[in-house]
Amino acid sequence: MEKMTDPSDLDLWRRAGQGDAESFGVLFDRHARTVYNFCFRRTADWALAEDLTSTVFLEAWRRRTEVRPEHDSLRPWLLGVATNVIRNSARSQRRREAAEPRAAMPSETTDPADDAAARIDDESLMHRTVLALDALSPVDRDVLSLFAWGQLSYEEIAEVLHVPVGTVRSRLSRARTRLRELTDVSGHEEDGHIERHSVALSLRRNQR
Amino acid sequence: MNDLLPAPPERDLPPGLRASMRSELVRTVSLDSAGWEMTDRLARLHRPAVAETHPTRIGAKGAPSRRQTRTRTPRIALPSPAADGRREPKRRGRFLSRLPRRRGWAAGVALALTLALVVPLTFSGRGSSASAALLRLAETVGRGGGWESPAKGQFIYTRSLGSSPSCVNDACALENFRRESWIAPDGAGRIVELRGGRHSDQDFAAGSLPFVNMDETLGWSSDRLRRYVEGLTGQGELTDFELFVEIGQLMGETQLLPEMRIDLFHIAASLPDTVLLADAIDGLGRGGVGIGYVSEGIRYEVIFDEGTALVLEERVVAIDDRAGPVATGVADNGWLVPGGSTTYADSELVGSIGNRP
Repeated sequence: MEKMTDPSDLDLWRRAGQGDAESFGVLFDRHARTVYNFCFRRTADWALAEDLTSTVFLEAWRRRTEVRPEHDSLRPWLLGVATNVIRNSARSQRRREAAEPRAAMPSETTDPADDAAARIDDESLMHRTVLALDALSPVDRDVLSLFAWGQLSYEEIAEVLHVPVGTVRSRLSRARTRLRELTDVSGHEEDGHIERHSVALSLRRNQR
Repeated sequence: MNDLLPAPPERDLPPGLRASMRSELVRTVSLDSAGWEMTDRLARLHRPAVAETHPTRIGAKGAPSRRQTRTRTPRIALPSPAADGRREPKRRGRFLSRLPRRRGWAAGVALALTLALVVPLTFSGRGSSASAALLRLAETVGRGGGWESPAKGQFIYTRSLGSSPSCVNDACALENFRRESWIAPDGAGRIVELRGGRHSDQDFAAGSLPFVNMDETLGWSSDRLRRYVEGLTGQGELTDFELFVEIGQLMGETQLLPEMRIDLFHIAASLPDTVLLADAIDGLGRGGVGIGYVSEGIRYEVIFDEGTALVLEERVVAIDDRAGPVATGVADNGWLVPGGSTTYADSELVGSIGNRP
């Protein structure tokens, strides 16, 4: 008996391009969580990550004629789009923060109070990490984020950022060195690896 | 190597938001596939106005046909901020852009000819080309354009999109929105909005939503009507600029009797500093009759459909690089911000809430 298999991203992408809107919906189902969390990790703001997730998929659709997916999964390419969207939104985000106090804006979708508190805790943690990553150049930050949080391979990062694989390696190496310098300041390094949460911890110490 | 960064928190999109985001995306893809090219049109929403006061072309017909209805999309205080007010540089005039750059002399001659044609006709306000265009729009309404009254049990469905400001003091940010509304003449209805990534869906009881027929104003003099419009704003006496903005918003968002619309066009035509915009194109690529009014470095523009005199789009454009938000009690949220716009994509009578044309 023939086993039914789910269509690949590539199949869904082709169908969407031929007018099958539901196929795009399935792609959204598959990758929305990944994109949402990636956006959050880069911005430390769940509400902004929600906006950006919507923008990433709209942008992906707008750029559909440019896409020549080489892999069966669209995930690397979507994270590449997300990287661009996040970079482009950074300036306007800074403007928004200048315009508004940091007070949280209530979401239209209901959030239980405890969940809201957890979201704030998340944001607090990620905010310190994002601040730490500000010590890196934007291009190094992009590569590191795609590698560490997007879990893309060197080759996939090279593809979505349109740079040679060697450049990815050198940027990652530079990012690692810089992060190590940060943790060395506070004396937290273990077995050649940067301690988990070390960036956040060192920042916390420096703030005291 | 992934230990370089701390283990990050991980969550799902809030379920309601996820569902609305998905349905919005699927709808966008459907519209695109049906030839709407919605996302490309959205990308054009922030395009600034083309050079103004070209009298040789009073709007271009080309808008998709719409029912002759229009309703007010209520000015509901919805959660705001975000910013994406990108501007593009002003486009060269259509005529000039066709000329080879090397032929500077030819461009100069063309410019001189254009100026010779345009300058005598670019006076704004009363008796100007802008005023004449407004009066022609009033005539269009008088010939029966722009009105179909909803029968009992019908709703006016309106789909609009654009970006609206949120401001703290004079620091403003724009946020994109898409909105659908179903409003009955008794003021009951439903409004669904996707603003940024946030979704809202609200039902309203009878009398909750503004449905301004203004039928009590029939036969009033212009002065009395002006005072009535000023009264609607709650701002007292308005400047001419503020009055133009209020008229634009009323005509853009409000269900009006044809006689009322004619009166409003007449009042707008009497204002001294309106300007006719050349090649007025809205965010969906529809050509129309564009009328603008300049104040404090910004221009508030309204684009009307030439065939129906209905508003296709309202928008705010910076005409001075230093221009910023302008506070005015007649605007939504109290500010006119360059880049802000509302484009009316659909407006039809439907039989029930939730139905779409």
